[in-house]
Amino acid sequence: MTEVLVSGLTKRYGSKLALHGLDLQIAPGEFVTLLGPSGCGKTTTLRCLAGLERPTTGTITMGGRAVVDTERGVFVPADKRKVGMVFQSYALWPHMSVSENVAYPLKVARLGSQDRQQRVHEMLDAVGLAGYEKRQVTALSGGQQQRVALARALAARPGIIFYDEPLSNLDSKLRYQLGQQVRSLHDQFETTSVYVTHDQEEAITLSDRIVVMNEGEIMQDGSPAELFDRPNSAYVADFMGFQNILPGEVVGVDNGIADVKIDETSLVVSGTTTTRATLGDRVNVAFRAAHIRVHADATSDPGRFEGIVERTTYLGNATNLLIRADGLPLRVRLETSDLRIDEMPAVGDRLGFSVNPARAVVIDVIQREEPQSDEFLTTKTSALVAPR
Amino acid sequence: MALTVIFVYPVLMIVIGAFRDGLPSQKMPFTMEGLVQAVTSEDTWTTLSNSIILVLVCGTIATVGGGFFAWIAASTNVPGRRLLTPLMVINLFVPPLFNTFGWLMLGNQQNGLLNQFARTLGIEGSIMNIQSWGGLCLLMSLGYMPFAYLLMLGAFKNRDQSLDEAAQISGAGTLRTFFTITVPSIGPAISGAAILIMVLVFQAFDAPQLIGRQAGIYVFSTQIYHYIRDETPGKYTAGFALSLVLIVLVILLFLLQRWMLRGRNFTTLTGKTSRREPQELGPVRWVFSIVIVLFMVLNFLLPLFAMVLGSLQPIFGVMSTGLTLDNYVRVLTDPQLSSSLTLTAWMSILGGLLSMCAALVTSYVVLRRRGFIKSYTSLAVWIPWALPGIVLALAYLFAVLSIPATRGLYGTATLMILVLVVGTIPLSSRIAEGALAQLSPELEEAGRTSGANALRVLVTIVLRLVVPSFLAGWFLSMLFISGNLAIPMLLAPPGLQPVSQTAFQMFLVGDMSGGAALFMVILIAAAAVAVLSGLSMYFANRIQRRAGKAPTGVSSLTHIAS
Ligand SMILES: Nc1ncnc2c1ncn2[C@@H]1O[C@H](COP(=O)(O)OP(=O)(O)OP(=O)(O)O)[C@@H](O)[C@H]1O
Ligand SMILES: [Mg+2]
Repeated sequence: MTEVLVSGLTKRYGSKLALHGLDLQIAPGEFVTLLGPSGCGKTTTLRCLAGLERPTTGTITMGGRAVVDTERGVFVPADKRKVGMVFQSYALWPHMSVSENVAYPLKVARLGSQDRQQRVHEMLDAVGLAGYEKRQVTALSGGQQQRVALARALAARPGIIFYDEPLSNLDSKLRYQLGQQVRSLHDQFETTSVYVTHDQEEAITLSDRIVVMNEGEIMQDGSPAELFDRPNSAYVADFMGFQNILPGEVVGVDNGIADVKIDETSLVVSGTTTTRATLGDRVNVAFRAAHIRVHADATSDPGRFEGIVERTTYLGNATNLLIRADGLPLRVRLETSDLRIDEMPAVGDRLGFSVNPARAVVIDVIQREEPQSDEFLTTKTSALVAPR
Repeated sequence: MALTVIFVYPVLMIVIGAFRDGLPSQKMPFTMEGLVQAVTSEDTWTTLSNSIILVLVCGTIATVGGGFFAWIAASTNVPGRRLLTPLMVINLFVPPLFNTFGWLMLGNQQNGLLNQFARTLGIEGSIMNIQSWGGLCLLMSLGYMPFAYLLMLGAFKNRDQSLDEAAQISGAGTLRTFFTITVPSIGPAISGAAILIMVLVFQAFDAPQLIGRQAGIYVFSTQIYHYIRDETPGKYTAGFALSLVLIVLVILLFLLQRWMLRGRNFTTLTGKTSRREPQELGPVRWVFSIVIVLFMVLNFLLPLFAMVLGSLQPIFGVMSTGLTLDNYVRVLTDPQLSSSLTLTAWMSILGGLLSMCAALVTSYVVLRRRGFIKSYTSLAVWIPWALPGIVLALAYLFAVLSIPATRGLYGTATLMILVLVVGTIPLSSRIAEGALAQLSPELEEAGRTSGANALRVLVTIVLRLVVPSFLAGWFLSMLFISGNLAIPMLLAPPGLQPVSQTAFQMFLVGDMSGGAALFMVILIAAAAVAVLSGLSMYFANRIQRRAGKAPTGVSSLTHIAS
């Protein structure tokens, strides 16, 4: 169980800045996931932490020991950091058998051959590969190779383990199974884990904490529930699967709930705000397709609006609708179990809709006083609202 | 059928020849005596042990050196590493005979340039004698290093660097990682290269003939030649017997490689492999840079310098007479020498073309056909691999003589060219395979489905894609043919000798300057062709820079190695 403190971490490749001053704290025993789209710098961060890459500036402290301090010229290479790592390509050594692969870190650590044997057994047992000791690693399936890689990373009992998209080459069922295994090994061996993925579902199910990154910066850092329910920016909301993100202006505030008039429509959507939004602020309001309720009649109650169904997609246990409300396209998801059989909306239907204000979030608040950033916001958000 | 005549039949001749006495034209009974004599003769055993020493020493040094350079080029930050591949490719272009001549001029005991240089520094006697065990090993190890390099470069480049990183994460330092992970993980590529290099050393003729013989070192190829040409009457049976032993040993080596790789499949495992920055080496990288420069000097610049200087000196090794172009004038005007040049030019242009055509056809068959035709063709084409030039020449000699109808071919340039073509097949078919491998059947099928008929597909798609590699292969085959010594030594018609042999004889009688000039003419011509084609390729690429990289000559060259 190693504690990690990162501050001001940057990494430059030629003229390109891959990391822009990252600050990160990882508590002992925590399972932290770095989440973000391809090229956002997840691997670079992980490799800086592991010691495979030399950061351009910044400090990293690991278990109380400074392993990187660019100002003082400190750099501890990977082989002196006592860490474990699972590579995306597995990186199993093809000239060694399964047990030789797992035993290698132990051999390097000068463990006696008796203890080594025992540890290898124990590890292979833990990943469910007992009896595969003598196999060549090239004669294993993808999932088995992955588990050997896991066993090898855990074998020397490092205080911290890094995972770089370890499951992305596997099919979805195996991915789930092995993901669970990774988590239970983390709990069983009480290590700290830093896990990289671009799959939000994987991140949510495995982690204690998720760090969402974009272009070398941390966008948000919080528990899976926080990120899933309360993203703090349009970027994170989009990444966490919020299908509707709309720009607008605050026209009413009441007890943590802000009413937002959506630009270029007469629609007013209410959402929860954590930052203190005031009247006239420019904001985005984000909600999931499932946060919209459908009503048979289109009364003009506050919060309700009328929409015409443009497209329906039947998914079995749910139905996705694309509706147009006052010229604005919105995505709606209806659980089949909530509908009566004869109640299925059809294309062309005119129905009433409302957004659950407790679920919708008001984000990217920009105070009224700054007109120039106003402009910035509209361009940014209109890009997000553009047909997706 | 043609395959049988050209490839298989001559081998049978060797086998038959080993069990008979005298020339095939003479009616002699079958006998075991030749073989028995070979086995009991002390010469055979000396030859064998000499060959084995040479193969082990040179094979090891060339492989280790080539692998070392390949590692530097593929995964380190050593300054100058980008020079390595062009350097090695150029080295591959230069016929080994050229380097051998060059080193002979540098390091022979009486008037070698290095020894002369040492004397001007006041050192008594000579600092080196290239015509010795040490010289032979040095020359041959250096000579095969470029090939070893190219054989292993791909493996070093394609290997997943995270294998090393995983070791580092496990706590292993740079050295330990290199020896326990990096090297073993490409074991098959290394052992494959080592065996191939050993086969080539086994078969080498030029250096042992020019350098080893003076030191009394006979290896298989030179001993065979010795039996046939230096003894009167020629000891043909002994020659065949030795040839047979040589072939068996070569085949054993190939089998050994097969056996070593049995059941081990090291193809890179799944997953997107990470290509990261080259491995950071400390100050030791400057040492490695010096090693690169040293290699370049030893294997390229020094021999080239010696050849150029020698060709400009009226009398080799005599500085006082200044430098003139007299030798070149002599080479180009002397009727015998210039006819030798003309012959070589025609021989290599024609032979290279034939060889590439044959290689393309056979490779196409191997690639696209199935069943017996495929396996028979690939076996037949493989045969020249196992036969060194001298044995090949001997086999053909025997083959044409044993059939009355073809006896007229004996002593003609046609036969010599034919054998040179066959001898070049291993090289040209590697290039042809590379060219065709880039050509997936889907490409042809796409052409067919878009309405083109078979001929049109062949012309507009297959040939269009294959042409660059074809030209490169043709060029390389030309160089190979013009630099080949072993085959003309046995088969050249009287009075019609190619440059390699003429130069060899001029060296023997001490006219080193003339020999050097003769060889330089060939090399200058080849370099001119290379530069011209390089330029045209460059401009062609500039003109039509297409999205997908068209196969270029150089890429097909590096394929020889993969
Ligand atoms: N060796 C390198 N040289 C130059 N640029 C690099 C290098 N490695 C990474 N980069 C750049 O740094 C940025 C971050 O790369 P990184 O590999 O960390 O992304 P990632 O988040 O892991 O992406 P993915 O999900 O595709 O693995 C990218 O824009 C990439 O192009
Ligand atoms: Mg990555």
